[in-house]
Amino acid sequence: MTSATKTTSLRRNRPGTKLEDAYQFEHIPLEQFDSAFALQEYLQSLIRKDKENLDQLVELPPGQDEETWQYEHLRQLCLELNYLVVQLETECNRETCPEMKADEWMYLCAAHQTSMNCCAIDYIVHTLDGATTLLNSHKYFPSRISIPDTSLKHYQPIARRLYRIFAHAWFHHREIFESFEGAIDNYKHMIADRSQRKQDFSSKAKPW
Amino acid sequence: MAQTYGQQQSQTPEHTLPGVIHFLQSEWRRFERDRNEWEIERAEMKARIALLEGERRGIENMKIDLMRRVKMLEFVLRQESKYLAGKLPTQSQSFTKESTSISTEEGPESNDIDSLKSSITSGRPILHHKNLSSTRDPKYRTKSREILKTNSAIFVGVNSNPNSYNEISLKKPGNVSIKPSRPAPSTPTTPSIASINSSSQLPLENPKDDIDVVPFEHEDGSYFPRYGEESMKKDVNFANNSNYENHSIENISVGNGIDEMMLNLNSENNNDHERGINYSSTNNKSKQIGEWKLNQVKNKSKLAYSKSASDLKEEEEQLTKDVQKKFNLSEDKVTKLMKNAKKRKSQEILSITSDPLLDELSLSVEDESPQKSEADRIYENGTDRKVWRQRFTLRSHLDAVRSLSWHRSELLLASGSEDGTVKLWDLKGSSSNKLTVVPDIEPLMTYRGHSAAVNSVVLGTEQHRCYSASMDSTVRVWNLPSSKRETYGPVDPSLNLTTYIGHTDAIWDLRLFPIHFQSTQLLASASADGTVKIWDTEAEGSPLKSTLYYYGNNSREIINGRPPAPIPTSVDFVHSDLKKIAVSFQNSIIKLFDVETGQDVLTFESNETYDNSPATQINYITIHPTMSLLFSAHEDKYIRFFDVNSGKCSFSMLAHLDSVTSLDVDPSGMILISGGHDNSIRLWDIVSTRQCIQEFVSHRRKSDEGVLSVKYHPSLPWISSGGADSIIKIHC
Repeated sequence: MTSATKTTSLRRNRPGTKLEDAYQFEHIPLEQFDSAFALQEYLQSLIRKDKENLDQLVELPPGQDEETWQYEHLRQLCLELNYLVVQLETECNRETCPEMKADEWMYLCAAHQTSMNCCAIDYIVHTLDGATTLLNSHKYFPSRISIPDTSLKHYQPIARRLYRIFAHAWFHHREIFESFEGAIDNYKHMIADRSQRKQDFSSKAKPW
Repeated sequence: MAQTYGQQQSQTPEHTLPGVIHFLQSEWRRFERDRNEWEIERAEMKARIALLEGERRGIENMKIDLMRRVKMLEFVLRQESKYLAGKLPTQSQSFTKESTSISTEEGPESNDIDSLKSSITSGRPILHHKNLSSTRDPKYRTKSREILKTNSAIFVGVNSNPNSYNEISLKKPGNVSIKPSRPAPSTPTTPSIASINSSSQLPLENPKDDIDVVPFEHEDGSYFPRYGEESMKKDVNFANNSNYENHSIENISVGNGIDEMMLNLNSENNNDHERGINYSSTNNKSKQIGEWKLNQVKNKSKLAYSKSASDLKEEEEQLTKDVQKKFNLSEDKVTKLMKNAKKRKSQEILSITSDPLLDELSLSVEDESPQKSEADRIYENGTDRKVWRQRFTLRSHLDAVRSLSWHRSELLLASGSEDGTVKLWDLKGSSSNKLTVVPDIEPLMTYRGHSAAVNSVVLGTEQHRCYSASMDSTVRVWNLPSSKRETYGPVDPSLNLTTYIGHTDAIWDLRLFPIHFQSTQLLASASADGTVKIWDTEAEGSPLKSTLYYYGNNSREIINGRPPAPIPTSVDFVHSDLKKIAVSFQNSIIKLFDVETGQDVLTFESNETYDNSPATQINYITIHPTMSLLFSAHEDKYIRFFDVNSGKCSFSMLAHLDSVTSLDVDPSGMILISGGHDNSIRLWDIVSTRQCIQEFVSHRRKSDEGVLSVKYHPSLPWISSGGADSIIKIHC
């Protein structure tokens, strides 16, 4: 039996909803989202609708702040990276990757008072936890509707560090990376997102 | 079906075997508890009788002593009158003065004390002994009270008889355990503290002063003894109060002030208290001596034996009156206390022993009695319920928070979110923060392992584990990290214990068996694949214990013509009958299954408003911890109450402006909390009015979802709520 979730207009996963019926919400334009989290909903709706269409994914919706749009992208990125970590944990551990490396680059973990040479999986988890905390910080991001100018400076380190997680996966866990990329297409999502924000920090992006 | 209120769910008309057994068990427990209380009370009364007897003996001895001295003085007087026969009256007067002063000086020092030592030896040691026992008693009492508390907690935890509910709910474990930490209303404590201070200091000086000064300064002689008398009165008063302390076990809601006294008694100075009583009895003697001397001087040696005796009688009467007065006064206080306490009864639930803030408050009250504690202010508001306020916000989830679960005793919260993670929050440190300081609280731990949204989490306190169920159709089992773990510590793969694979579709609800046994701990999961699976989390090998189907045991093969089985939405173990489990389905039916056989035992009349669409489904069910009541949260805004034994709906109400998503019953069993997609959290009085007690809006909607989870802490006055806005809020 399938539930009638599809036919109801409410954007809601009721308890008992089957996986195949979950999130089967109609894609609607941003203006029709009537909530404080319209941008997030819109972005998630876009991803569900067509995650291959990167141009559309990163395209700034009309009338929106670029900062808030980027903020939602970063949040979504952290969210989806959780699932990459889940897969990485199966084969990336202290023994296989004692250092956080991407090709020849080695990174130090910035989640500690003084930067530490954490092993790769620690680095990844710490970075993701740190980024999530920062993005959820009431101090730096009190509102998801407008971002204070002083907090914009955090975008770049967050993005740079998250980007290294992909780099590590690409160089050391290619299979996982590829299956993950196929599943969620996060990498392209991120690249596209970054390229869109190229003007901000392309010069500082590290090659890998 | 939706009956109006006031009907007690009584089992009596049913006379089922488990019902009868339950009733008998609960009666037995109640009786045992009462017996305990009586025994303690008896011991207390005995101690008091002994104390009073000791006092009486002391007074008697004193009387004998004084009589002896009166006779002695009479003898002196006679001698004197003989001598005076041939002398001048002026000389005689001066001599009288001298002789009396000499004799009195001897009185307290040699005669009095000697006689106390020799002839009154029987009285003194007894006094000592009794006093000691009375001061030791409080400690003993608090100990026995602790034992009683735990006992009653166990009793209530197991108890589920609705007949005994009313009594038990008033004496519930929460209430009992609250007591020791409760700050007392300041009015009764202030004088008592003052009295302790005065009595603990002054008696120390009194004995010497009495003995040295009294004989010479007659005017002061009556002054000093007054302290003695006062301190004695107060000590008696004190003893009376601490006696009452015992009664407060009976009337659990009584005795904030008394507990405060208790604290004072224990914390201030046991020794002084003890001494206070001892001194007071000696002071009492010297006082009488002093007074008697005063009389003696006034009468200028013309004192007849009879007169002094009557004075003594008067004195005694006065004393008993005073004491009586004090007794009455303290009784008044006690009755006042009782009244106040009764008013507060309902509030008692909300503040519990180990809330550090309350502890602090009660401590501060001890030190500065005039300063009113926050709790007192709440009482004085005239509202008889605690008003819940948002305390702080936990942000770290990136998408809707679907489920929350508290640790049974600690301030540890697990949250499951649509972002696929389970986070563990340690709020111990945060509880001490002032309301104004709201730092960002980072989760203690983030569990990543699910490949889709997490729909349900549950903490297994005894097992030190966390279970999470996800859209990815797995249940994952996590070890809780050690308390020493740093937020950014190394990744520990050993925390990821195991994964239960067996369901074939999203799992929506997860419940742990309410009682933990060493060998077995059941976990029930409800999945969109149409089944409820029961896992034995302690089992070696395959954890899957059984699978429940909508049509019972034999429905594995789909029979033609039968509609496909409805999907379960929520499960809960029946607390009053632990062999049973209740399951709600998307077709708005609630069924009771036998955990062992897998057979459906009872179908509830719960689909009153079902219209064949999930828009009228049941979202969540929860079962009352002690009563045989089941609460269901409906997508069409209803909350319904069912009798677990009959399956009949006893109450139905439109509870929210939008779908009701989650429910929980407070630890006392008096209040139901509900959260809905209308963003509001509402508290309902279960027992009497069934009205909404409080409502607060604390989440924002994302998509068409609002509040997704509300949970009472099982032992502390905290509420957590999780919403689609990916935020967790803590109220207290």
